Amino acid sequence: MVNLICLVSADEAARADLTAALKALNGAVAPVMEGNFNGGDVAARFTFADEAAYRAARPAIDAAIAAAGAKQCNWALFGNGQSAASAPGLADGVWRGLLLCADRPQTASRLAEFEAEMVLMPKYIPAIRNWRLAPTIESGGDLPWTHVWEQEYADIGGLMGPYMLHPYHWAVIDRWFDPECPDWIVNTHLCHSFAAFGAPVLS
Amino acid sequence: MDQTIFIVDDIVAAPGRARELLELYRTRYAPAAQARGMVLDREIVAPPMWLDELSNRLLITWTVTGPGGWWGQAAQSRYDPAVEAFWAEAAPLIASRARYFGSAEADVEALSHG
Repeated sequence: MVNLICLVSADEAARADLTAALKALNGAVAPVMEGNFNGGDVAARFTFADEAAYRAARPAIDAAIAAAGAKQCNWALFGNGQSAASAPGLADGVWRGLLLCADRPQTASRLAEFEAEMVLMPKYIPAIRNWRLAPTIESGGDLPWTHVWEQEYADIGGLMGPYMLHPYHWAVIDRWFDPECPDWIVNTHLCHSFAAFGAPVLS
Repeated sequence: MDQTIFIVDDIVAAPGRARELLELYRTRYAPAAQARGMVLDREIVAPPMWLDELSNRLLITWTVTGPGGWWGQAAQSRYDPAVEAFWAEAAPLIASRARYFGSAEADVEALSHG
């Protein structure tokens, strides 16, 4: 199984047709919610049986995005990585995707430490119902994104409240993202996007 | 959430460079940090004498109010090239450093389960 996230920036007038076109290609598609950071206007998430299926489908996805006159598309293809679901089948929640680029000088062991700490977030922040952390297979847009960190919450309050306010986030994990901390490895340019797909995408 | 959050810079100066480092920190870092809402709590020099051949340790503690105050300072510093430039300029004066974020023990429960 491989997954594709596309965060598309497009004029408002083009978004309805873009959404319909991507849904017709079996994507989960929804408007990106307010409060995002570089998260695009329309979020689309696809799952394919394997990379060959993805390669076969990609031209049509690209054509739909091009037809919308998209101003930008940040995207990432990734495998299953590490994941868990404490609320399988969550259909009416909020999905959040973070595309990040760990491009600061680092060792393989430090990167492994970063990933190990990231996947502990749901243990300490149970508002994260379902989640996945995966290195990218390929990516594009503003940066060569190296990782996708996605979560599902019961509602937007889980993301804006417990996720942002818990000290495991700001006093532990964030040091990997913070140029003021010696452990900094993640480019400060991120894609922080969230949307209500109306369907489970992580379980 | 209005607990006091401590931001602690734990800096081991390069041998004999601690005074120079502290002066640079005070003039080039502290004013902008205060403008980001950080309040200087204390500066500790250890040992309490200036060493020439060995390293002094500087423990500089700031406070902000709650996770909101923490994110407020972080959001400003993260996209300010002057902050990254300061740490690059200070690097030759530093043997090693760490930055910690913490609270009083009495606030741990509220912060982690609030």
